[in-house]
Amino acid sequence: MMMKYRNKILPITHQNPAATGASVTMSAGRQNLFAAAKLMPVVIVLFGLGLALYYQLTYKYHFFWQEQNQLFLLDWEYISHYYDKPAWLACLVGDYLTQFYYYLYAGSVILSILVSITLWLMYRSIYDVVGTPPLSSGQVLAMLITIAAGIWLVGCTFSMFFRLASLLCITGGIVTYRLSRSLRFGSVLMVPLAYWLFGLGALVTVALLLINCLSVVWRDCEPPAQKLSTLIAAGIGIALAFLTPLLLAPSYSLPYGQALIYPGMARPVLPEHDFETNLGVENEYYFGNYDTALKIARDKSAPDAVSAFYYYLINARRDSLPDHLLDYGRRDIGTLHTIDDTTPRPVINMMHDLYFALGDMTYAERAAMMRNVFSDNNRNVRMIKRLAEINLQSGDTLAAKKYLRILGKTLAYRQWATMTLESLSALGDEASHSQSVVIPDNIRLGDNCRTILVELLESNPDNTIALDYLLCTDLLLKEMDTFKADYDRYCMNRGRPRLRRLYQEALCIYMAGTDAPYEQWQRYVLPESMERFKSYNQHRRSSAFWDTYWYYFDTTK
Amino acid sequence: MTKYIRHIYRSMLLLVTVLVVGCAPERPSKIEAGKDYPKIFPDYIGVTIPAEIAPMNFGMADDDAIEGMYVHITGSKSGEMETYGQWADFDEQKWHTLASANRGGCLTFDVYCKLNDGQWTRYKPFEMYVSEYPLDDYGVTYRKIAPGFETFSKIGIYQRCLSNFKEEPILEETAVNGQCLNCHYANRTNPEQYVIHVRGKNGGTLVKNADGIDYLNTKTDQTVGSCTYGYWHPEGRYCAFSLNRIYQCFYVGPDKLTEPFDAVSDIVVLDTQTHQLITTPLLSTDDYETTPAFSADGNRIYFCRAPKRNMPAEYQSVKYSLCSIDFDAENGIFGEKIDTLINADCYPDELVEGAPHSQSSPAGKSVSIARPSYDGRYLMYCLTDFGTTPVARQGSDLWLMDLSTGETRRIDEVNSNASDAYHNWSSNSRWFVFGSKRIDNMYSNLYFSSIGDDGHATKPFLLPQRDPKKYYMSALHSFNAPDFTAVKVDLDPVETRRLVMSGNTTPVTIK
Repeated sequence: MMMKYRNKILPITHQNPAATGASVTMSAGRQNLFAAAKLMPVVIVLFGLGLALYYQLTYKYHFFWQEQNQLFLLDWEYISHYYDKPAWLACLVGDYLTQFYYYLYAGSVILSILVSITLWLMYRSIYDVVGTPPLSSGQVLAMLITIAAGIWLVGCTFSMFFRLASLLCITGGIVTYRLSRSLRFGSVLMVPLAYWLFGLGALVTVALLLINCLSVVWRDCEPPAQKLSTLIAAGIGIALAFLTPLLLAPSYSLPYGQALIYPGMARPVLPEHDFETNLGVENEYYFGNYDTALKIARDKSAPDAVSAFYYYLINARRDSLPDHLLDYGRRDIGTLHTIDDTTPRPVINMMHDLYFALGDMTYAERAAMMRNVFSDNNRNVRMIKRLAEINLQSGDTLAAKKYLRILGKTLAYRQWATMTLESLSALGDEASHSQSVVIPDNIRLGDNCRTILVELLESNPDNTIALDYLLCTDLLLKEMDTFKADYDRYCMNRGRPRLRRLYQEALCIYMAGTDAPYEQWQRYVLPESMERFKSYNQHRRSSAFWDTYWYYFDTTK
Repeated sequence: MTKYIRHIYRSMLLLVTVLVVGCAPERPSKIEAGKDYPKIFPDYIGVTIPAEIAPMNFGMADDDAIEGMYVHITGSKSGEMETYGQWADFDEQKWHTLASANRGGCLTFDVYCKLNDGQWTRYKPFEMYVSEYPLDDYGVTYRKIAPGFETFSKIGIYQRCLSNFKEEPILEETAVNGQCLNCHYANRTNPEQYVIHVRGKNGGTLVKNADGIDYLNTKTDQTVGSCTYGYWHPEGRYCAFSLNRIYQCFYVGPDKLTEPFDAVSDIVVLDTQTHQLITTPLLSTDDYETTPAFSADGNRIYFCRAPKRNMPAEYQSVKYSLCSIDFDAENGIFGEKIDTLINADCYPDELVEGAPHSQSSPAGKSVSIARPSYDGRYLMYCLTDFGTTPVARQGSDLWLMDLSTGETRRIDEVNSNASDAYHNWSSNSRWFVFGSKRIDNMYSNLYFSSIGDDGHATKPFLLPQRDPKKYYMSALHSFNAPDFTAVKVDLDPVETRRLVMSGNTTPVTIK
């Protein structure tokens, strides 16, 4: 029964040592390798489990990133567009599965299963070819090749540019090879099919065909006619693998190099933990888990612009930006960034969150559009949701409905979109309670955030998020005159002094610097702040005051 | 064996029966027509179509409320057809037969809807008029871009066959990685001659004419920028360009988004044979001169001009007048004076050099994108409160000037409350295409209308799609800079990529 099965799946392998019991003399080291190779199925299963665990524990936010960087619609017209490019089957299945990454655990499970299946298929394919005499060490060779491929594949999955479709192309290429093995010359005809369905997978198919060919040529027992025919078949297969994209590239509107390896494969990298942390902060903010986001930001060993941006944004939303301005490792609140053709992509990606929180729907829309444009195929499901929210806020219900209808065709956002569509009028009322108010339609003469913040405050003095961002920007730049003028204009003159410790400390510096009369001190600064200021001046630059604006002012250039 | 064959035969019979029964249109029983027209999307009620147009498929605006719809069409001259489904999806061949048979007549649509409760309802039948004027161009070309904002990547130029639903890329950003593609300007719908301006690291101007493709660097030391907005001379040797340095500001309020404006703009004519730029001091001033267009006979260039302002601070005071200047194609020289057809600084009483006007006046507003019809009879242009980018302005309307009388009027038959702009004429000058944001105020879509002998336009129709509601409600792009193409554009992407990616541009010189 076993022999029958093996012969069925291994048409070329007539004398498998495992089946014939051929004896091979081996050293102890090689024996260990053989023992390991026999355990390969178990190894791959364990590897898959370990990989899933690793992804889930240390890399889960990358899955959200990939899920958000596409917009897969359950709609035949949309799906039919996959035929416009090669590798349509791999891309279709890959993008379909990627949308499940929205759900916790799904990403790590799906990816680790697919990596494991791919490696197992690769191992079996190579073993079937080389695991015969005189290549008596074929099992070991297959294992070593599989391990190398596994390291390479997993390295690719760590990249922020990785797409599940690329992995499926490789899987598809191996499957095509396995299905075509018994077709001999017919197998080469499977190469164009592999290209159509799996793009770069055709190269994998042809690589395996080549290995198969070399093993036949290597074997003394094969008749010369068979060696020749196998060589010719491999030659045709290789030619087809390169010619098919060449012929189809114009119709796919792709340059040849891109068509050959479509949809492309991310380069293997070491785990991008820094990027993962930033994705963690960003996504936890997106999901509304502010405490978790703050914890990730605080635990980050080297705070950067992205973690700082969300750290301050969350605090601003909690009305505590001035209380936390100086307690983070990087003081970059995002107000000095602008969007143009030189702006780095991470900055473009995050700015919509700031503008949305500030209530500037025009700039939020622009930033969301830009992030959408810079996503794969100009489609980003999270940005479509953001665009829907923006248009709901600004009262443009026609545009909002359009985005909601699109989201209604997605797997993960359908429920939200349907509910929002149904309660559109109620949400409109809610929008009026937000800090965004109708502003005169004037052109903005500058695109730095100060201009935006001032305009927002002129329109809505109650916009405390904009107020804190404005005052904190002044303080970070140590523009004390500007700070005082802004504080007067938006706090004191409106009879609403903003009695935050940070502002009190800054006012002390301004008063001291301008030799302000005591009455003015009394008007602006609380007695306890004055007392602390006296104390600081007795121990100026002392680290005991590290969390005060006085210390920042004296020690930061 | 016989038993086996009999089994297969029975299965096949069953399958055929199921298919025939399942696909047969579900006909409602006879019911009285209602008093109201059906609320359909797109609004095709009362539109005028060319007989050559693709099936005018439509659905109910609220298609969640229905299980399906049955539509019966009767031609006023002859023929009929029907369809049943979730939306009205007409058979292409039958549609073309029916539309052709009723050229100059009308098609009456009888719409029945099966509601979710299983009950049928019938609406008041509506008409669609089949124009006697043919639309014999192959299709339209356009760019697809994200709306209203600067897009640094991933722009494609596409063509769409008008007699079916087939859309094909002419050139996509993926073919010329990292380069931004500007509009594709053909010569009076003839794609054998075109220009495409490419921005980016290897930027330049692709010029295709009878001699092949040239990739030109149109920026010189003596001109203010590269060739941007182009328009071919009818004889095909010259192409007029405006040289623009475009910037963009954003609005504070929620109603308007962006305000693109020219910091500098002049007009030149490119001699595609000698690679020389023909300039004139009259069109290289500190003022803004932009969007040139040759007249039908090629002896004149229409363009828009506004006095220089302190930009962007004075953006609301930039109002473009419609002007023209003679051009001598034989000697390749400009005329010596500029005529003003519509003066943006004047008000109704002192309008256009004595030209009469009707309905309302274009004076005091800003003219942009003047496009003469190829038969020389009309000039269509956009009118907005200020500025030069009508697609960014909600109040942009299309206006029509009768060049034989100078009479000008707003084309109320086609305009909407949203931006209506970016128009172009069909090769026989009977039809025009324009972009309108009337569906959602955000994304620009293509509408078509025809001009009759009396100068009146017909109710415009939205570019048909197989499933229009699904298509337009899901699209995340604007149709930008549409134009008709007489035949299918056959641009070689490999050669184009080679030219663009090489970055080897031929410098132009000043004549």
